[in-house]
This record gives sequence, structure tokens and C-alpha cells, in this order.
Amino acid sequence: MNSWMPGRWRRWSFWVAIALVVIVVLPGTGLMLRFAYLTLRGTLGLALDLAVVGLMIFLVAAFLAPLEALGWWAGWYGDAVKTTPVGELAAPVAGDRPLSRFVVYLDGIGQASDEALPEGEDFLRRLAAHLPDDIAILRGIMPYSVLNRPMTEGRWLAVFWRWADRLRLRNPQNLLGLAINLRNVTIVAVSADQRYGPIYNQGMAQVIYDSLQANGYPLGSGTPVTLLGFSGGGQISLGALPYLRRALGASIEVISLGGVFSGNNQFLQAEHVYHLVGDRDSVERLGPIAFPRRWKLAFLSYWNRAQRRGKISLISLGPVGHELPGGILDAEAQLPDGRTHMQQTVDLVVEILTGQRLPAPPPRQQVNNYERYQANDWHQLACARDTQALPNPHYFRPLAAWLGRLILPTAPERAAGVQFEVFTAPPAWADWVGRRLRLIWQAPLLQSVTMDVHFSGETAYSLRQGVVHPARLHGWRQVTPLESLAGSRSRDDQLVALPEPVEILTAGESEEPGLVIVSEPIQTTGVALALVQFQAALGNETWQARHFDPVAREFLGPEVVLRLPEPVANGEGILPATARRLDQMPLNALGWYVSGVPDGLGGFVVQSLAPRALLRWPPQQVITGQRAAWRYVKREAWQQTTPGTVSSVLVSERRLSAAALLSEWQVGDRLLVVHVYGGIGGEQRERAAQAGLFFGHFAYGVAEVIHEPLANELSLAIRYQQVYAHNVDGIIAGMQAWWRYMGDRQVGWLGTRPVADILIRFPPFTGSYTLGGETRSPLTGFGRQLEAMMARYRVGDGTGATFVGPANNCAQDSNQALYDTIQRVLAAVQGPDPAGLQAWEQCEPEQAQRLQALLRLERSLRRQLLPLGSVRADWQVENDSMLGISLEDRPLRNLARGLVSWRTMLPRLASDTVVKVFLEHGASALVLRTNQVGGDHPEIEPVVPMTL
Amino acid sequence: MTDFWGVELLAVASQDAGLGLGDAIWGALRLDVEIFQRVEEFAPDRRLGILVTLLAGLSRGIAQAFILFINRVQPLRFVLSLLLEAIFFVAGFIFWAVSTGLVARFGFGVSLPVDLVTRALGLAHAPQLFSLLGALPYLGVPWLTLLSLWTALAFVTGMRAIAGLDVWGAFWCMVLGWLVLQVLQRTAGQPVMNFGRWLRDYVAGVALVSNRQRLQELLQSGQEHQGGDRRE
Repeated sequence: MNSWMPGRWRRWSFWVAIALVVIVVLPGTGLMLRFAYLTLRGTLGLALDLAVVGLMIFLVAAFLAPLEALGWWAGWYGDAVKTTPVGELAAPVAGDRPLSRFVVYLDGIGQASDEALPEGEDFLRRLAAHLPDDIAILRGIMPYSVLNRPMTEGRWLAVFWRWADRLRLRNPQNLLGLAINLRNVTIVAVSADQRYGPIYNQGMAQVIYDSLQANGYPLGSGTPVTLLGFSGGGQISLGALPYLRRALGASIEVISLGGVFSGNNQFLQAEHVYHLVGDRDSVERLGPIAFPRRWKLAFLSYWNRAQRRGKISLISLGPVGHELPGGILDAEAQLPDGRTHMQQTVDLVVEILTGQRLPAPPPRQQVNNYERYQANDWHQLACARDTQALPNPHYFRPLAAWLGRLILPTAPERAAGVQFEVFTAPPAWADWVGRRLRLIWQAPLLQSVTMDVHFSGETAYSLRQGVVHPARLHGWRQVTPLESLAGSRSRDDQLVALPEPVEILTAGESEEPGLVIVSEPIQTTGVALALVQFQAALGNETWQARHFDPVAREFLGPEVVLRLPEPVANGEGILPATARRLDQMPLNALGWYVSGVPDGLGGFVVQSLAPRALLRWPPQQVITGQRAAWRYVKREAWQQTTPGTVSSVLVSERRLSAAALLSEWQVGDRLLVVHVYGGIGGEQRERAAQAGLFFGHFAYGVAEVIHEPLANELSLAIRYQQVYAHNVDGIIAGMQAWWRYMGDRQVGWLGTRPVADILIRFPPFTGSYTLGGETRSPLTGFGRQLEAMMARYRVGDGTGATFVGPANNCAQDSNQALYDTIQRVLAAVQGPDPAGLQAWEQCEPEQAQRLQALLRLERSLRRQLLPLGSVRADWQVENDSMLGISLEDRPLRNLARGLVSWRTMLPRLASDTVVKVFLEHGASALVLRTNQVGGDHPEIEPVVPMTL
Repeated sequence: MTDFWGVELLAVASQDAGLGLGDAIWGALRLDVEIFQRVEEFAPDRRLGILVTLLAGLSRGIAQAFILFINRVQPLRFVLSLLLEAIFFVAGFIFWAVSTGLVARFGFGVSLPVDLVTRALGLAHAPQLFSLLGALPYLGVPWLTLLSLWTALAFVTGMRAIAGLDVWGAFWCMVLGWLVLQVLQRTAGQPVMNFGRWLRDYVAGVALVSNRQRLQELLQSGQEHQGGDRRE
């Protein structure tokens, strides 16, 4: 933070401090001081006495300074006092469209009336002229009075202040101007005081809130607010910030122009803090000296923590002072580049407010797996190749109606949504294939996870170590969940399937054609799917295969040439997948679903692979009965670990016949997926599993029982909601199709890790409820919760990184979402109207019964997930920014949070715990296990994830 | 003499010409052992200790008046509460002086008349006269900490002077005296404490909240209340 502080100044302040200590410590200094005083008095006489009187008056003024705020709080002024002037807009704004941001200007300590100083007003005029008209600037707030009462009106000293103000306006150097400054300095001290601050700052937040409301701020809209504080206005802005944020429910950033502020303001609650300081600013420098919480020594202070989290941008203004002349708002003094100080300040603030100011690009990374995998050309997206005709279209089906590549716009081109390059489209829109459309994700509930991204120091370090962080988003403001999905990697190489419903905007309806979706795009691999059996290797990575004939129900379809490119090994030399002896693998008998793209040479590139034996319904085995079912889930499922095998076992604790249990599962049923993976052992044992223990990874997902046309049979479609920390592989937290997360031959885990996917069918949770004409499904609500959590993970709550710790990891945060969801559904259904609920229960007895079951499930889950009884506070508070915080930040609190919910600290234990609760409440669960499936791969063996 | 340094310039010069209140306070501030030793000479000021403590209590009360504000105490009750607080301060001090006297007697074998302890320890409260400045925004908190340290040093000096103990003896005498008082407050003194609390609330007109956590809750609830108003 001292990088901009000249060395000369630092040395000077050091010697002053030493001198002061010596003066105080040395014996006899009292006498010396007295002697000095008498001598000075002899020489300077009246002037010295006046100075002393001045000091006394200042102390009295300071003593009385908190009174206004305290009296306001205590209600001493009664209701008679109203905060009359509520400010006004500095310039007219767009009337035809919603405002994108409100800027509130809080002037420096020189302000005495409801107008800022002339240079401040001049600055606001210039700013308004340069800003787009959807940004409103609010002026005229008196930041040094909780009653928003100017010093020049309605006070017993008003006459004096008016006189002082007049003199000072005539001559900025006038001494009485200093009196106004000193009076307001005492108020800044009140705001920074730990006793008075909370009261004063609340009062100020109230003034700003009233002012925003009176000037057209749409309450409840979440429209972001910028507090622009000059000098002492910096402290006032930061003080009011947490209260204003709570009252408005909007993101609030602070731009400080030479701000003087204390280090115990709630910087972490700001969206971002921009601190603009000139090299010759002697006033701002008082802050880092006078406020001990801004000393580096106080490394746990909010200021220092916010700096580490990248919440604060220090921007140097060059050779610029503080006040006039030569100050930040001087419209005459010129910089070496020819601009005036004022112009530079206006330019910088406009750049910040319009998102044009981007920080220096983050450092280059070490080579990571993501970069290594780029060498595999067949796994890169190439629209021209991937959208060519398929070898035998009749035996392929598109993976989704709308498939395409996400393209992040550049910062200046940002608008609603991102670009979408169409790879497949429904037949009616076939001519749009290959075009770039605008893609908009309408998700009002995700407004709270739209945030500014500024990399923290730790993120920059992690990036250098090779971890993939959203480097393209560094410095971006208000990054939406869709932008973070498109911009998480350094290239636009994310293929997604658009979830239904997809609304189509034709060119007539909007400026350019586009697509609108309401839930998260699904990351996937391949554009088309086929069901094949490998016949023989043709060499040069190609295979002879035969399509499945759904009528004959055998592999008697036409032959096809498949290309299975050898994937690039990861940093530890482990191949993600192999195609060795694929035709001789036992799983080849039932065939494989292959997903990929045409190779442009008449063949088909297999980018992703799934054994039909795994996904087909009915399962291989059914186990019922309390003990047997639980024993299978807990132990037996993980005992069979022969590489290259899969199993699918349906379990239920209810004593039903296999046929009865199977008949419950119907096409269209939606299922909750609980996913856990293990490690890579054997000759090429991965580093993470070297110690012999492997914790694994946990995720939730959704599955559906579908009718698979290629095989003309029932099958399971699985997708995951990956709450996944930043990693070297370039795996992005978000909704991922099985084809991407598991089956992908370059980045998926099917070929290298043992995996258990447990698909739970429990109608009270996986079914839906109709209430007041509205259909609610806990599973859908759960998906929404996870969408928000995954969006937060992608940007690390604005820090650019999500670090895994005891309090935050895949299992903990996924289960937080589960807990939240059930709470919300219960709250929504039970609602505030008990009579209505009773009537509903009588009308819908079946649903009421399910609701009761859900209630019982919630109680059990709470007991299991929170055995120590105390609910983690951050599990109840929405959007509590805990991500991006490493363990060092708040070690004890973090650890305690983890321990309170200890069962979700280990992925497999978390999975067991959740599945057991569901089974106990009557659910049935399909356990799908895979052990390093694909070609022959003797160099590796499965490592089972540990549990207790 | 009307100098801004206060009483000290002439007081120092006229130390031997008989001691007044100002001299005594100045001496206590300077941690002057001699002043404490001569404390018995202030014949007309038998109540000196009590007076200094009362003023110190009032001064301290003003520094902590923000607690009354947060509790929304109304103006007249506010003034009465400040006075009551000062009286409580004196009462607390007398009990402490007695318990310190007892500790000195049974712990260190020094027999001290209560009157003497009261006067010496009361005088040692002199730095607390400046507690008033603790109300200054931002500077107030470190100032109060400084005064507490200063007062502790004055106590130790006072005990040394009147009991003839060494520095550590005086220190432990003070600490143990304080501990005894705490134990008494929590046991036999409970009814008195409860009465004090009741009286405090009665005068303030509200159930006074003073611990940090509860004060924060009060501020929080106030904000929600106002938030509620806003929505209307």
C-alpha cells in the first residue's frame, strides 16, 4: 500500500516519530518544554495565545461533535426534525429505460452548505457530461450531518458559518475556511469512532437512502450504487456502506478521491473500493498514519484483509495534491501529458463507472493440463468441421436441440448476455447453424451473484502456479453468471446445450437475433450421439464399428469409421483415456454410446464415450430390505473395483419385490444424483493419492428416466451440478452433462477414476407440488440454489478464486444448497396462511402426504448434517461472501464452521449420510458404479475414496 | 496563574507554602510520592479523596454517556443518570478502599486507617478527572486507555507512600483489593448490586443495556425499526 508513498516522506515520518519518543522519554523534557513555551511566548506573543485558544475551541468542538448523531439516535429532536434537503440529480437521465447505476457524491470536509465546493460542483457537471445517461449522479447531500442539515442553516452558529463560507469562497486560502474544515474533521472522526461510528454511519446511510428514494431509485431492483467520496467523504461513504447495502439489497462500490478513512470500515462488504491518490497529497497521507488499523502491522484489519482479497484498487494520480490549488479537482493545473488535474480525475472516474478501466493483465501461468490438452486438435471446437454432415444421419441423433459455443464479448462490447455460435439447431432454424447469436440467460434470482471480479493476491499466485482462473474477467464489473460461464477459461471453447425452454428473438423483435433461456446452459461434449459396437482397429487411431439396429435389437446396422484420437496425457503422465483393445472389452458386447463430431473425412470423431450397460434401464440387480440395501451402499458398492467394469444396482430399504420396485420407475421421472469419485492408483499413482488416503469429490446432479431412441429402450440421462473449485484441468463449476464431465475422452473422469453415481427417486423431493396454480418442485428449487452456488464458485465471490477449506468445499457447499432448498420449499408451501394450507391438504391428500414426508426428511437431514445442533450462520444467510477466503484469513472461524457440519467434510461420508437419510425415508436409489472404463489401461488402478 | 497549563506553574513554585487542592492534584498527576505521604496534612480537606473521586466519576460518566444515548435516555433523566453514575462510582471506590485496606492488613501486615486509604486512593483518581476528554471522537478511546494506565500508576504510588510497601507489594495490594471487591459484589453484595441496577434503570427510565454485545444488538434492532418505517 505504500508503493505510492515517496521514500523521502517515509524516512521523514520515521525521524519525527523517533524525536517524539525521545522528547517524551528523556527526563527533564517537561522543564525544556516549559522553557520553550515561555521563550516562544516572548517572541510570538499574541499569535501563540491565539493558537492555543484555537486548539481549545477545536477540542470543545470535537467534544460536541458526536452530539448531533447521538441526539438523533436517542430521539431528542423528536419528529420535528426532518431531513429536508434530500439532494437532486446532477443532470437529467434517460427516461425510457431503466437506470444502470446511481452515483452518490459526498464532498470533502470543506462543505458547509448543501452545495459542494465550487470545484466539486464543477467536477459533477463535467462527470455528468461524460457519462451515459443511464447513470444518475446524485448531488447535494451534506455528508457531515446525520440530519442532512447544512452548517449554514438552522443552527445557532449558522450566521458564523455563512460568513466563513462566503469568505472562503472568495479566497480558498482564507483562515476561516480552515474552521469549516476542522469542524468537519471532527465529524469524520465521529464516523471513524468505534462507539459513535455505528450511530453516525447509520444516520448517514438513512440520509443517502432517503435521497436515493426521493430521486427515483427503484427500491428492490438491486440497481448498483457507487458512493463517490472526496477527502473526508471517503470515510463517510465507507462508514455508511454496510448499512446502505443492507437497506438497499444492492451491490455498492466506493470511489475515494484522496479519501481519508479509517481501517476498520467494512471494506469487505464493498463490491470494490477504488482509491485515487496523488503523489503530492499530504492530506490523504494522514489516513495511513492516524488510523492504526491501516498499518501493515494490523494484518487482520478489514483494510488489510480487503487488500489481500483484491477488493481495493490503489490508483495513482501522478504529481497531484489534495485541495486547491494543485489538487485533485484543480481545473487549471496541468499534468505532464497536457491534461488538467480535473480532466484526469473525470477521465478516471468515467473509466471506472463505464467499466473501461481494466487492471494490468494477470501474470502468465505455468503450463497446466488445460494448456496441454490444447494439443489434441480433435477435441477442440471447430464450427466448420463440427457442423458438417454426419456419415449416416439416420443412426445419429443430436445431443440437444440447441448446441453451440459460448463466446465472451470483449469488455467494450459487453451488453446483455454473451455470444452463442450455433452448432446444432432445431430443423426450423437450421439456417442459423454457424451463425453467432446473442444468448441471454434470464435469471432474476441470480442478481445477487452478479459481482465485480478483481483478483486477489492469492488468486494471482494460484494463477502463476497453473490453476485456471477466469483471467479474462479480471477487472470486469457486474459479471453475470452467464459471462462467468463463458469467460472462465482463456479461450472461447465451451460447448453448451441450451436447456428448454428456449425463446427465440428474431431480428424484427430486437436489434439482432438471439436466444433467451431461463436456466443454466449445460456444458457438454460432442454434437451428435450414436450407439455402436467396436469391430476392429483400422490403425491410425481409427476403428471399424457397427451401428445398433433398434428394430433387430442387435448391432446389425451399417458400418461406420470411428476416430478415437489418443488423448494428451496430464501433467503426471496419466492418459485420460485409452482405446487399447476396446473391441475385446466385456462392455463392448452391449455396445457404447459415442458422442462427437464428424471428422470431415467421412468418419466420426468419438470425443465422449459411455457404456450402454451402465445407462440402460432396468438395472443389473435389485436389492431390497433395510440391512441389505444399506450394506450395499455403504460397503459392497465400493468393494468391486476391477478396472474396466460397471455395475447398476437398484436398492431400497422397503421390503418390496424386485418387479414392484422396478415398476415405480417410469419414463419422465426426475432423480436426484449424488456423485462421488475416487483416486488414481497403480503404477502411475496420482500425487493426490500418494499418501494412501484419497478424499475424493462430491457433487449433486439431476437425472431423468428417458426413452432412448437409438436403442429403443429406457435409459438414464445424467447431468451434474458441479460445485467445483478452480483447478489445473480447466473444469468449470456449473451444470455439466455426463458426456462432458464423465465420458469426455480428454477431460472426463470415466477412464481414470472410480465413480459412484447414486440416483435417488423420492417423490416428496423429486416430485412436484401444485399450490395456488403454481407448480413447485424441490428438485428444481435445488437446481436454482446450486446455480447460484456454482456461479459464486466460478468467480470466487469476486476474488477470482475458490479455495477449498474445511468450511468451503464441494460437499459442504452442495449440502448448504440442499438444506436451503428444503427450508425454502417448506416455508413457501406452509406459508403464512395456515387455513389455506389446511384446505389444500384436504383437496390434495396425496401431495399433503408427500409434504409430511418432506418435513420428516428435513428434520433427519438437519440432524445428520448439523449434528451439533447449531445451524451454521452462513448456511442461513444468503450470499454470505465466504468463498475466495483461504484458511489463513479466519482460521478458527473457518475450522469451527467445518466442524459443526463435519459429516459433509468427507465426500464419501457426505454421500453416505445423505443417501442413508433418503433410504430411511422410503426412497429407492440406483447405484451406478464405474471403474476406469474404456480401453485397456493397466498402468492405473482405482483408489476408493475414504470414509469413516 | 491564569495560564493555560492550569495550576501547575505556580503550584510547583509554592509547594512548601502549604498545600491546596490544586497542588495535591498536580502532585498526584506527577506521581509524586511526597504528595501522597503528606496527604494527612490536608486538614481542611478530609473529604478530598471523595471529592476527587466524585469529580472523576462525573468526568468518566460523560465519557461513557454514549451508552445512555444508545439506550435512548431522555434529557432530564440523562443528567440525573450521570449524577447517579458519579455517586455509584464513589460508592464503588469506598468499598474498594476498604477491601484494599483489609488486604494490606491481612495480606501484608500493614495496618492502615480506612480514612487514610480513602484519601490516598481518592487522590490517585486525579488522572481520571480528564476522562471527560474520552468523549472526543476517535481520540477518546486511546485517551481513556492512557488514563487507566496513568491511574493505575498513581494507585501504586499512593499505596507505596502510605503503606511503605515496595512497588510490587503495592501493585498486588491493589489487585487483590480489587479481586476481593469483585468476589464480594458477586456474592454477599448481590442484593446491593441489584438495588443499584434497579435504581439505575429507574432513573434512566429504560432497562439500561451496557455490554458491548447487547449494545450492538440494540443498534441493529434500531436500524431494522427504522427500515420498517421507511417502507411505510
